[in-house]
Amino acid sequence: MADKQQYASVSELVQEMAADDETRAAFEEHRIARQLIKQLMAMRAVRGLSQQDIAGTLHCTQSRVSKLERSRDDDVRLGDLRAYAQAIGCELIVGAVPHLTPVDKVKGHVFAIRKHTDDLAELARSDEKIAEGVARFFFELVFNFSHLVGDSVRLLPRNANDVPYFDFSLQVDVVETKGRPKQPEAPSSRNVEADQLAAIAP
Amino acid sequence: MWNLRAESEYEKRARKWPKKYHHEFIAVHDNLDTFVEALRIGANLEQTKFGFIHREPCGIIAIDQKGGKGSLKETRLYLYPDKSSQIIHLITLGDKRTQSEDIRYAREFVGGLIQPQNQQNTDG
Repeated sequence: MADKQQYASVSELVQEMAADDETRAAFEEHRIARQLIKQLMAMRAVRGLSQQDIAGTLHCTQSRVSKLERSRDDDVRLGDLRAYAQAIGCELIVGAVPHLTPVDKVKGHVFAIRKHTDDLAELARSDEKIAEGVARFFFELVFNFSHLVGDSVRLLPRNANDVPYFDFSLQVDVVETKGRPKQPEAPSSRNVEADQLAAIAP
Repeated sequence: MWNLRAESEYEKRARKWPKKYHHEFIAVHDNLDTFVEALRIGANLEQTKFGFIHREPCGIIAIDQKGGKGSLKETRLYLYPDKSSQIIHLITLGDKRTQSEDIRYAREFVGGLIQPQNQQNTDG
């Protein structure tokens, strides 16, 4: 079969296929206006739930669920969205955030990750098996996170002398810890270059 | 990750879709968008429950215009999600009048798609 262009999103497809600009613009406007509801519907599908199932949980009629799913995000009460989200086992998080610079956004995520890793470390105190699991996860996290940042570093342009601003190379030493028979599965007591980490990291 | 592929018949009909039915065009594609999003985040293809989905023979799925605003003309977008390649083949687009012909066309299309795959499996 001849190679045909593939589209990563329906939005991209419609921009290419629609017969006229009016349809293109109307589709995009409609899609954006329903982003949240469609996300919830997709999540409902992941859970394998029907509108009837949601209606049963919310003690309402199936037609009410159907009406919500046909709505635009702005036309639905926040309480109804929250209840729907709970019915599909999700949490609706609504918040107002100031416009941030890209650097502030990265910092915000890093602080959020720090909070979650602290929570995990606290959780690990409760049980040795959990502690082993958390340790393994932290180990993977260090590899993966470093590798991700390394990828971004490599995207940087070179300076005026055609030299990278800095070379990214990660060196990891994994040392056997006494009293802990099980270590995370990874190369022990040797150095690992960042490129090799990709093969190790899940 | 699931990608979309516009097959010839779909492409031809989409590009010539009448302007007076543009609400129908938007509605089926909005539903397609929801369906694709569901697959991408891990929905089980066989168990996905949306009111706008109709399951046809040979794994073909027809997506209709339900949920669109106003009283819309019955419209169907026929597609075939190929799990092995993670490609959703958009086969054709039609209305109630062309429905039986569209289903026949879609079945032939999928037959042509599956046969070479089976041949490859046998040869391999």
